[in-house]
Parts: sequence; structure tokens; C-alpha cells
Amino acid sequence: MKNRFKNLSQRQRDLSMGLISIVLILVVSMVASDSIIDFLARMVIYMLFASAVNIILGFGGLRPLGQGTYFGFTAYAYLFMVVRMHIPLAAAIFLALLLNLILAAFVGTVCLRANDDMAFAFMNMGFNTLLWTLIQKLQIVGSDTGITGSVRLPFALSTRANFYLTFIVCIICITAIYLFFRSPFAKILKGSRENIERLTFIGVNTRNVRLTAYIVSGFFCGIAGLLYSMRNMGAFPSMISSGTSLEGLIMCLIGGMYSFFGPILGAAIVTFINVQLPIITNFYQSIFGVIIVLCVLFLQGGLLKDKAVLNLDDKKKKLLNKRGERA
Amino acid sequence: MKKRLLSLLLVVAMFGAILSGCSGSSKTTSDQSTGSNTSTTTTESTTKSNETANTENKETETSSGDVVKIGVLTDRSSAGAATVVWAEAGAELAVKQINEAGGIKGKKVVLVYRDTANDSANVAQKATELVSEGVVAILGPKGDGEAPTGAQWAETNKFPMVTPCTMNTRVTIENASRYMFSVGFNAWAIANMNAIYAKEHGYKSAYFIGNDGGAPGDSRDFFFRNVGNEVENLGSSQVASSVTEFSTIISSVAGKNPDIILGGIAGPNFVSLINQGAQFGLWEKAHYLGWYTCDSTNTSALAEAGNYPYGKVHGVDLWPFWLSDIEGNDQMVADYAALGKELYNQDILPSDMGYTWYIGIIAICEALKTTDDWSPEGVTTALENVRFDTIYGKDLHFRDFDHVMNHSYYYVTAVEDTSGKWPVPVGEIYKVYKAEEVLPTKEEMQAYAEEIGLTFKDLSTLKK
Amino acid sequence: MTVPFFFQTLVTGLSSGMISYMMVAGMSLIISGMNMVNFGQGAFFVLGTYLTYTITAHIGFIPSLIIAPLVVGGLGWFVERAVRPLFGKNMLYIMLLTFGVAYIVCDGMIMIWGYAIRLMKLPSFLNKSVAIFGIYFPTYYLFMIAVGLLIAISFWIMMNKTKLGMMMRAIIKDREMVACLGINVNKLFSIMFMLGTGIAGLGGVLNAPITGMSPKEGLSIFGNIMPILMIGGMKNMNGCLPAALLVGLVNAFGAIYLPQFYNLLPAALMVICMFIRPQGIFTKKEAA
Repeated sequence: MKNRFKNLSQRQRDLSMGLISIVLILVVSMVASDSIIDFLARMVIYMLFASAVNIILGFGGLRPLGQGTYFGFTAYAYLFMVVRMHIPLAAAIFLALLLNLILAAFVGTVCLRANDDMAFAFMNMGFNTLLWTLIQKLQIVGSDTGITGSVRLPFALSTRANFYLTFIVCIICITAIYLFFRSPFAKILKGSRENIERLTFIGVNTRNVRLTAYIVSGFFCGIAGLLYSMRNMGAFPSMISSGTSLEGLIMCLIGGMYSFFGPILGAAIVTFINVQLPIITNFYQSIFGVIIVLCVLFLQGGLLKDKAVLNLDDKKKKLLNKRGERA
Repeated sequence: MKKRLLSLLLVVAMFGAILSGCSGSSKTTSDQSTGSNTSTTTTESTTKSNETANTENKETETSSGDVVKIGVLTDRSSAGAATVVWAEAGAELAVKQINEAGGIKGKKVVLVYRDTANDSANVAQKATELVSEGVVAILGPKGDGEAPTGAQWAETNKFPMVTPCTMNTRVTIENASRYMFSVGFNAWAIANMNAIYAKEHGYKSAYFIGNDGGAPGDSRDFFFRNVGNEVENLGSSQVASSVTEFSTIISSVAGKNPDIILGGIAGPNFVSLINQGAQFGLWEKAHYLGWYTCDSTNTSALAEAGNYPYGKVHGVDLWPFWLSDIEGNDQMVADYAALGKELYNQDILPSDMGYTWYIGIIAICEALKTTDDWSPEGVTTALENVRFDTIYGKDLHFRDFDHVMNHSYYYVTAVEDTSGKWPVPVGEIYKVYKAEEVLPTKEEMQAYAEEIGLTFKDLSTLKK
Repeated sequence: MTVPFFFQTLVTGLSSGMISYMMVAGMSLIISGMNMVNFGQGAFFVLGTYLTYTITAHIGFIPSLIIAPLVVGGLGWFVERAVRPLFGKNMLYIMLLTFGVAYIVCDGMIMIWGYAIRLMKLPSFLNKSVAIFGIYFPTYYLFMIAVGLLIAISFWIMMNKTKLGMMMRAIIKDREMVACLGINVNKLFSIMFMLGTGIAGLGGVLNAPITGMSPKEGLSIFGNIMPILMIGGMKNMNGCLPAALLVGLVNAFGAIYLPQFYNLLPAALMVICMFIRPQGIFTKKEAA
């Protein structure tokens, strides 16, 4: 059985893992109570968010410390348009996503100007903090309370129906991200992660490649934010805070940066810890901290690894063993 | 090999944490003491504490026939957790008093806690979890920013919720719900009381320093509406809650020479502001008007440091814990302190925040006593009609058109306790206001709603 | 604006900048020397404050100025040992590890000291005010400016005039070369990290008598100092002090003219500065 699994190609592995997780979530949702459905909705949304962050983290090689901006901004734009400006829901969704794209393009251009990784990371975080502070100051977006309102789509008003809608949208988006990773563009993106100078020699405009990846990532983060605001029926400052961005990073890192399902698994684990652990102990943050520390130290690259990386590790081990035998 | 073993342990710990959460445990008061004593740095103890939690859960679930559960949404993880001990001790004090008097129709009251981490996104899910635990009403959320989400949840799920938050008026109107009740301070009332004090003392100019947020903004806006031209508005500074350094604001304010500093600030920021103000000599020139004036979460640190500007800080308080001649007061203070020690191993002194949590639980329990129907609708109707007395006041109830509790507010000046009994400032009472003197009337709320373009929902019309 | 008021604002801004400098100096050293971002710096800062509460109660304020940074530095040594296997790998790992450490330290502080908000009594010899240009300015703030300048000067001396500093500067420039020369790079890294966290602890000690502190603030304080790091230049240690002073002054004058948006000023300034000059305003353009 184990050997059979090892012989599956990467594509078959991804397909089987995807099907297993979809079926698992569906089965749990059938028998679950309302609060667990709410929890599953959060988990599924964060799975999408983590996958979106991983577009530039794992595959792009950049360090996005501020993807929470798009998560929160889309939510706020949507809520503001529906509640304060009374724009109809469908138009508001479209406009919110459009504004999000424009913001991602703007911030991406500004951040990628200097071709310095650390500058990118912190400028990203800087925009995030700036927007978060600004939103908390303005009474018109609700300062510390955020904007609340009934923003669920008319055919998905109950918790259960909204969850199924969220689930379907997330499956579609994650599949889209998967297909994005299979595209030739993703190969160039991986190249920019591995050896950016060589890519520039070949004649590829690496800045545009990175910018495109950033905008795509921002777009999917925005969709996740939109779904979250529908689940919560509101947009809150915590959605746009740096805490959300860091959570996305932690999910990717625990689950596995260099594989497709890694962030998804990481999102599941982190959401469980954040939601269920406080019930048992007051000090769940320190347990979380310990898990992060141990993960980073011992499980570098996260829990899940792609077949290519696993094969590489196997070969390395065999080589070391051979050397050990001879010595 | 060692690396593999450790990574295996890590994976086991993570899945252990997941599975224990899946068992849907409820955290009762008995769980709290085990929680705070467990060492959390090794993975083995994680799985152990999971096991103890599981066995204890099974016990509480089987004995649900003799207990009535009340849910509490608390905050133990964000920066607001600095005041959690005082708040929860207030709720537990109410439970202790009620259980010692025989419980509700012979059943003991038990509190079920859920932590929302001051994040509104968690409110709906944790509240739904509490409902599935079998609670009859919910006290919460803790943070002012979460109140509208709580109201929205209560309205959508038609479940009674009593909040100790200070809600801003716009939010109160927008999210008015039959199922939401407020036992906290009221920003408009605070502004009114501050305005009365300012006018009667002939202050001519004011500067506002407050946290970001709607409630502080309200306490400023309604103040200036009330005083009109009598007090000049010198400006306003709203700072984020993570700001610790007020010296620049204080120096800018000192240059404008205000008579009063209107305060809308709480917690560590309040401590920093008063302390740094004292160092800059600000309180020799200006007075501070605010609320939570004698709340020990704010004042004990300042009193210990010896920098409290006695006689210069005025404001609204709910719990006049220094009035020893009120019968039962000293016993209540002693019980409160004992509970803080027992639950969190912390020495606590009386706090207004604890008092709002106390009154919230008392209100729910008194409502439960008046009816046999403990369904959500039944409890809501009971809360609408409940009237009870405490040692501090008679005929406490929720106003029928906006579900705000008619506390009596004590307007005090914080002074040093001459008898030496209290290490914290006590209040020299300027005036005791009845709720109807300072809370906004229905007409005022309607006029304000029209002004900002919202419709005012008169909750008394929704009575069933 | 009257002249005394101007000078008071100036001095207030400088002292406010000095307080932030303490926390940033340590971080800047760690970033430029070891190329790692220590997200847990805020937690060490708050830990220094809490240690002061306990130490001062038993011994006194001046000894705690020395002991608390040592203890925090010692804790930093442990963290550095934990971080060591991650050198050379993705910078994110280290960031997240220090973030995890911050969580652990914050909860540890709650377990030991409890949830309350605390403030320390000012030592009596510092509890006075001095008249400058007719405005009364608290002595303690001048003390803080003095300590900050002392730290800055001793740092500069250490970096530029001592052998240890020479080795550190060499590591900042070219780590592999230094290792090739046979110098124990690991030991130097430990010292750097301990110094960095120790300075943050010292900042915490100085902060104890003026700010009310609660344990969970360790996680959010980091956001206050990030702008200074960015403006001064992440890899530039010399840019730290001018950047901190600049932000302090902007805060001071901003509080007068833009009081409602007082918080936004550092973040906005950071975005503008990074836009104009991403390496940091106070960085000299390095020859390629």
C-alpha cells in the first residue's frame, strides 16, 4: 500500500489528497451542529487564504508579511458599499474585487520597485499597519467596531447554506490556484524563486513576473476576505491587522511551503489550535508558540512535501548512508 | 533519529490538541484552576491536560439536571486581557451569592466560558457553541468593539445576550435588537454628567484625549453638544491602544492651557497618561474628567507608584465600594477579593468592570427566577420585565425602549483614603445621579437617529 | 507658537525618540549583524519592565538598570542557541521562531506576575522637574535622554574602537571571510544577540516608571518601532539614532497640528521614506 502510494505521480497524489479532503469536510459538515459548521467555514476560508499567500511565499520566494491587507480591504469595501452606500450585493462584490485588484497592483508596484527582499517584506507590512491604523481612526468605517450588516447572498442566508456556498467557492478558487501552478507561468515564477539572476539573463522581466504573482495572490486573498465577511456578516479591524497576515504565514510554514496542500493542512491545524485550544487552557498562546518553535526547528519546510522534494531527500539520505558504510 | 522522534512527538501533540478540541469540552469554574496551574511548556503535559479536561467534561454533562448554565464570552488573549481577572471575578461573585442563597429554583448556577480574543469574527461561532452547551443566556462580549456583532448574533439567533460593554450611540441605534441588553456604562450619559460638572465649576476650555473607538468619540461629541459655547473645544487626540508614550501629546496639550482634559481612555493607556501627566505637571493646571474613575484596574498601579493626582481626577463610577456604611458592601468587597485569589491567584480590589459583570449575572438570574419558561423567548421576556434590588439601589431594570439598565451613577472625585483602609483612591461623591436624570430620553435618541440618517427602533413595540 | 513651547516640544520629541531608540538599537544590531529579524523584541522589552518591578522592590532602581538587561540578555542567549540551526535558511523561519518565542515569553510573564497593569514608583532622586526656558520639564525624561545618549556613544565606541566591535563590523560586511580567518563566528553571534536583547531590556527598565504595562502588550509593541527601523535603514546601525529622533520629533510636532491622526504619522512617514529611498534615509549609498 505504501509502495503503491509512492509510485503515484505528483498529479495523482494531488488529486487523491484533494478528493479525500473534500469528502472529509463534506461528511463532517453533514453531521455537524451549527457551531461546528461556522468553524468549518472559517477553516475553509483560511485554507484559501493560506493557499493564496503561498503563491508568492512558496512558489514566488518572496516574503509577504502583509497579505492581510487584501483580506481585510475587500471585506471592508464590500461592507461599506452594501451598508453605507446601499449598492446591490452583486455589484458590490464585483466592485470590491476590482478595487482590491487595483490596490494590489498599486502596492505591488511600489513594494517591488527596490529589488530588495527585506524591503519588500517590510514595506508590505508597513502598508498593512498603515491601513489598519487608518481604519481604526475613521468613524465612517466604524473605527474599532467595524461595519456590520446583512451581506449574505439571498440564496445562502442560513449558516449551513452559507457554508456550502463558501465551500464551493473555495474549491473553485483552490482549483484555479492549482491550475495556475500547472501553467508555464508558474514555472517561470519558480525560476525567479530559485535563481533570479539567471532568469534575468534569459531575458525574462522578473519584476513583472513577481508583480503578476503578487496581484494574483492579492486577488485570491480578497476573495477569501469577501467570504469571511459574509460568514461574519461584518468587516472588523482584526481582518486587516498584521495578526491575520502573520497567521497566513504560519499556516504556510507549518503545513509546508513547497507543496500545494501544505498550506491547506497548515490552515486546518492552526485554525483548530486557535479556536479549540482556548477552551482547554488560558495559556493556549504559549502552546501555540511552542508548536511554532518546534515546527520551525525540526520540520523545516513544513509537514507536507512535494514528491520531487521527497525524492531528493531520499536520494540525499542514500548518499549519506553509502558514505557512512564506506567510512 | 532524535530529530525524527521529536518531529513525531510534535505531530502527535498537534493531533492531540485537535482531537481534544473536537470532544467539545466545556470550561467550568473547576477547570480554571487546573488550567492556570498546568505547566504548558512540554508536549506531554498538553496531552495530559487534555485527558483531565475530557474526564471532567463527562462529569458536568451528566449532572446537567441540577445546574443552570449561563454562558460568558470573555477575552483572555488580547491586550484587553489585562482586566479579565476583575471582570470574571465579578461574574463569579454573583454566582456565589446566588448559589449561597439557594440557587435558582433549587438549581445551582454554573458559568461556561468561551474566549473570543477581542476578535469580532469569533463572537458568532463561540456564542453558537455556548448555545449548544445548553446555556440559557449569554453574558458578553467583553470588548467594546465586539458589541455590535454580539447584537447582530442575538438578533439573528433570537437568543438573549446581556453585554457589559460601553456601546456607542450610533451602534446602539443601528444594531438595536430585542434580544440584546446592556448593563454597562452609557457614553451619552457620561458626557452629560461631565458636562454638568464642567458647567457648574465654570471651566472654560477642554481638550479630549481618548482611545480609538466609537464610545470615546461619543463621550466627547455629546459633551460638546451639551455645553455648547460655554466650554471651548481646544482639540482632540485619539490614540491607538498600543501607544505607551504620551509625553508628546501632553506637551502639546500643556501649551494650549486647557481647564479640563476630557478622558475617553482606559487600561494601560490611562495609567500611562495620568502618570506622565503628573510628571509634566499637567494636573496642576487641568482637571481630568472621565469614567472608570475609581476602578482599581486603573488606579492601583498609579496609587502604588505614588503619582496619583488626588483631587484632580473626576468622573463616573458604578461601584461605590468605599461606602462601608452600606450594609453588605464590605462583605461583597471581601468576597470579590477572595474570588480573584481563588480563580487567578491574583490580589484584586473592586472594579467597575467587575461590577457590570456582577450586575449582568444578577439580572439574568433574577429574570430566570420570575419564570418557568427558560427557552430563549421566555428568558428574553423575563429580562424585559425583570426588576430587582441590590444593596446599592432599588428597582433596577432595563429601559423598555432601548434595553439599557437604569444604574444610579456616582459622580466622584478620586481622593486619598484618609482612614488608611484602601490602598487605592476612593471617591468623594459629588452627586449621585439617577438614570433618568442623565440617560438620553427616547425623544433625544429619535432626534439623534434622524440626524445621522438612521431609523430608531423602539424596542418596547417589539415586546411579545 | 511661543519660543518656550517650541523648545518644550523639541525636548519632548527628542526624549520620546530616545525611548524608542533603545528598543530599535538592539534590533538593528541583530538585523545587520545576523541578518535576522527578531519579532520578539517587544516581548523582551516588556520582560525588562517586569523584571524591574521585582528587582527594584528588593534592591533598588540603579542596580536594576544593570541586572535586568543582564537577565534579559541571558534569555536572549538561550533563544540564540535555538535559532542557530536556522542560519542561512529562509529568513522567515527565524522571524516566526522569534514570534513563537514572544508568545511563550508573554504567557510566561502572566504565569509569574499575573494579569494586572503595573507601574513603578519613580526613584525619589529623579522625581523632580527642571525649568528649561521657563517650562517645567521632568528630570526623569532628561535622565532617559542621558542614558540613551550614553548607550549610543558606548555603542559607537564599542563598534568603532574596540577589537570586538571590529570583528562585529567585519561580520556585518562579510561573514564567510571572518569564519575563514578562524574567528569563532558563533560566539560573536551569541554576543550580538545578547547585546541586542539586553539593550531592549534596558529600554524596558527605563520605561517602567512612566508607562503602565500589561503582559500581553509585548506582542503589539513591535508595531510601534517598525517605522523607525525602516526609516533608518534595516541594515544600517548608524541610521538608528537619527531615525528614532526624527520620528520622535515628527510625533511631537504632529501631536500639535494633527492630533487626531497622531498614530498614523510614523507609519505614513515610513511608507513615504521607503518610497523615496528604500535602503533607508540615513544610509549612504554603497558603492556596488
